[in-house]
Amino acid sequence: MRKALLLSALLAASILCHAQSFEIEKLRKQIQEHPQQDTFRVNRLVDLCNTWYPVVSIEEMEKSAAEALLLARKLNYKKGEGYALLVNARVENRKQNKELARKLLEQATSIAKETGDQILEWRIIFRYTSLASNAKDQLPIMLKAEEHARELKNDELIARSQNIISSLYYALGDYALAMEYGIKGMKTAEGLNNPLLSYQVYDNMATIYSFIGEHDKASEFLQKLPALIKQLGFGDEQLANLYNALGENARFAKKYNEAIGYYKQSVAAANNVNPYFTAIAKSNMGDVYLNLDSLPLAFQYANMAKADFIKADRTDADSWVESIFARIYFKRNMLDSALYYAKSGYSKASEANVMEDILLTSKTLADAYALKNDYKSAYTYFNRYISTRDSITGAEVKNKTTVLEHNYEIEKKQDQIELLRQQKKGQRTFLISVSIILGLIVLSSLGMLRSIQQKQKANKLLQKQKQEIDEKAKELSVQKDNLQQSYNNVELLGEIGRKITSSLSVDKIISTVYDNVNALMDASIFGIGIYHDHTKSIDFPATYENGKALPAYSNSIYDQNRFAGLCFISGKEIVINDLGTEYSNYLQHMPTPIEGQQPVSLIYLPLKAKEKMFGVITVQSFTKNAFSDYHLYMLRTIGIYTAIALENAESFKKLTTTVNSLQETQKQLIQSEKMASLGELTAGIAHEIQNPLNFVNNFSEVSAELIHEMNVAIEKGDLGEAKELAHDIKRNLEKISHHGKRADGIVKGMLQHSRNSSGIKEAADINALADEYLRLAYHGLRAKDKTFNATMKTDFDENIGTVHIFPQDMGRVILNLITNAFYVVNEKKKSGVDNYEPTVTVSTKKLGDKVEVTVKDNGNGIPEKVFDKIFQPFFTTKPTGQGTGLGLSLSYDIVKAHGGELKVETKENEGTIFRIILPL
Amino acid sequence: MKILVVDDEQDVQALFEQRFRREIKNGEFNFVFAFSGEEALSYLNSHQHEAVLILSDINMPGMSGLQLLEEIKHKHYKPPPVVMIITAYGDAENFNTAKKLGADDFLTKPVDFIVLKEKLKTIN
Repeated sequence: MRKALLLSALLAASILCHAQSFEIEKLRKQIQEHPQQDTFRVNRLVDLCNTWYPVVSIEEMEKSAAEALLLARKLNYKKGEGYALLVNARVENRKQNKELARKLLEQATSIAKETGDQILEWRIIFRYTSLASNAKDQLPIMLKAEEHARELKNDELIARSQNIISSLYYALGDYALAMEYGIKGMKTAEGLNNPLLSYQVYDNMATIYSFIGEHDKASEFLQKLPALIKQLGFGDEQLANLYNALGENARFAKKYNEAIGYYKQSVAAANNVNPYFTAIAKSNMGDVYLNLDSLPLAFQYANMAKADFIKADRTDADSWVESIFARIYFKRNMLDSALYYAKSGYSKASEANVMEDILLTSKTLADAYALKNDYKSAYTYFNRYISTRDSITGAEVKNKTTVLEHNYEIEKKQDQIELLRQQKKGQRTFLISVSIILGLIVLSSLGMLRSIQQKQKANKLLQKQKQEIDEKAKELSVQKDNLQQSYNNVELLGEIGRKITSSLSVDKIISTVYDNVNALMDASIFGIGIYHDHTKSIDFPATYENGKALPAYSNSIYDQNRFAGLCFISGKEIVINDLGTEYSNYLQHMPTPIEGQQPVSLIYLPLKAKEKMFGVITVQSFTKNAFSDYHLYMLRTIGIYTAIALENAESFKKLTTTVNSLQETQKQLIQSEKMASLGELTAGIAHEIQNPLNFVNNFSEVSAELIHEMNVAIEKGDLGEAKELAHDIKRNLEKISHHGKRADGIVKGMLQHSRNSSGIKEAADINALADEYLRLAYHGLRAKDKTFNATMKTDFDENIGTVHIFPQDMGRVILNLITNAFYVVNEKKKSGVDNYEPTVTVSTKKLGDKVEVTVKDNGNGIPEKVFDKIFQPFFTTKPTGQGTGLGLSLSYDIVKAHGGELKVETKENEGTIFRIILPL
Repeated sequence: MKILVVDDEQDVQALFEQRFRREIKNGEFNFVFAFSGEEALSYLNSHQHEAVLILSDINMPGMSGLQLLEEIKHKHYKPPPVVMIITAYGDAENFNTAKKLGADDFLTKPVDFIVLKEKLKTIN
């Protein structure tokens, strides 16, 4: 299906529709012989620009249009200026200068309004249509033009409007309306004796008929064209178009060889004119060869067409060419390429609403997706295909067409009757008139009969199509049902699998499997036998008969007159539909049940996972043929899940044992770790404690000596010396006391570090706690150092509520951090930094399910080289005697024991922030 | 004789002054104190031509006693100072390092002042 989109040609057609070559020649001569700068020259120049495009070249038109506009303006000849603007717009539009064309039309509109020239106004609307880029946008403008033409009662303009509207509806795929406007236009044109209009109308009708499958009708119209082309002095372009139309008609009638003949003539005619026309004919040939299964030729012509379309700079046929490529690839079974082209073509065709291309590409997409087993996509595109096909060949179009045609015929007859009446009035007898009328009635009845026949034909076709669709739908529905069933089974089995494999105890696994099997089939007897390697037996810990649990029993795997042992050893499935006749296929004699009653049909399946046998699963029934293939299939799958579950249970058991022994080892490790860390602590303590103890010892010894000397001095009566010695002794005692306390502090710190927290967690107000320790720390430091001073800031989040902590431990952490902070700011102050305000900020904040306590100082920050060590026990930056080095280490352990984190951020010379993050 | 005691514990000064009361009084020993390795070095630099005996602890913040020892033995002070190092109990590693670095003698903590007094008198 590709008719040249001749819309632009239609729109370009002049108002001098009857302008024929000789008339154009006459115009040229008039212009040449009348160089006077007057309105006559303006009008002739405009007329020349309004002639049929291919006869007058674009260059000639441009030159004449420019001169006409210039001259009209010089003469202040308004009407002439309006028409000159219009032809200039036509020229600019041809040259693709749409914006300039639009501006010229705006100027022309204001002149038309000024002069009240309605014909000019119609022609401006008409010209706007050709500016719109696609049929969808052109249609409303053209409908407006028709309305305007009707107001002007200008039949020629009405007919042209209607014909163009018809071809726009055709392009948009609304064939009923295309037909309606086509017939309207034809009717209006009939009395005008305008060959160009007739040509356009017949050409349009032929296209529509050809497309909806009325090839005889189409042919009827096409045959009227050659004479008109000749009369109009048209060139090769129109001839090419005509041959193409004939080819199309033949192609739609599936007369492929005939079609190829026409297309070749079309190509020959168009060869020297316009690659657009050769492209169309070649692409149509591609389609024909495709239908004839000559794929190489189809490919060759489609490629040539593609090249010609590119040469002609036309993109409106892209979807058509792609539909051909898609079908070629589909026929070559290159599905991905077919999908690629069909998708691209489909989207372009949908955008431009090109019905046949939508039809072809959606069909290709449906077929290709079906072959790729993507039924969902296939179904979607198949639906689109059906609905598109319906809209083209549907009952509505056919019926409407028939009715329209019929009305047209009747009106035509009535006109003839009227004519006869006029002519024969009083001259002929009444009888003759009556007989003519009767004859006409018979004729029109025959017409009616023909319409009815056509209708029936259409209905038959529709019936057939409906049947086809129904069949396809039925087929799809069966496929869908099957898919749904498989999907349901997969879902069900997945669910069962999840349930079975989620338990880790053997008893739970058996009862879960039983519940699920029972829901699926007749499991009058159900059991799972678990293999035990050390006893070489299969134990049935829980067997169910008619829903009741039987006592546990056991089979030796070597007992080959038992199905369980047989199934386990052979690893093969046992399926018996009637035990009485089939047992001998497996066993030497009829087995007797260990527990419960004798079954009639049964299944035994081995339970195997990762090549390891775990035991057997069995279902048994008291009726014959209780189990179908479906049941076997389901049980097989359940058996796989059961084996996996049993494997999991076994691994779990092993895992539990491993975990227990690991926990034991861990406990021991923690104990040894504690001992080790205690050892480390002891060494550290010994070292740390040595210095104060040395002083205690030495000062005690020296003091004893001094007392001795003091006694000597007293005996000598040297009281001055004695007093001095007593002063020294006092000072020594102070030093002894000082170093004793220092040692005491270290020991206490050590005890705090190593002691297990034995307290109970309490709901505590963390804000109150922080506040309390802040004050405690501050006053403690003030008591020691009277010069100490620092700014305290607090920022507490009141929405925290209570936090579960060991209050004493956490208090110690907060106290430690605050004390450190005060210490560093005091140090910085003492170092004499200018304008320094020592500040410590304590804040709390709720962070979702966590709470954060921050202690911030503006001290010197932690030097990079010690940053990694600050949490190590006994690490301190304080001078000897001032810090134990246990504070942060202890704090870290306490926060960890709360399940929290202790984080630190520091910046040299700016300060440090410690964050305690605790879970709520 | 001038003895430079290097220790970060400030009470060491009081202790030495009391322990060596008599010797100080009769001018036998002349003690000076430095509370860090850095302080000790700056003292040595400003008293280049004095014969000095150095008595240094190892474990000090900043420059340790061993670093101080290395520094002294590498710079050719004249006359070369005698350096006695005070090591902790069972601190074999420090002892060996000090020996390698050229320490002249060793004392172990807690310092036995009777032994120290005798050693000092011998050197004197």
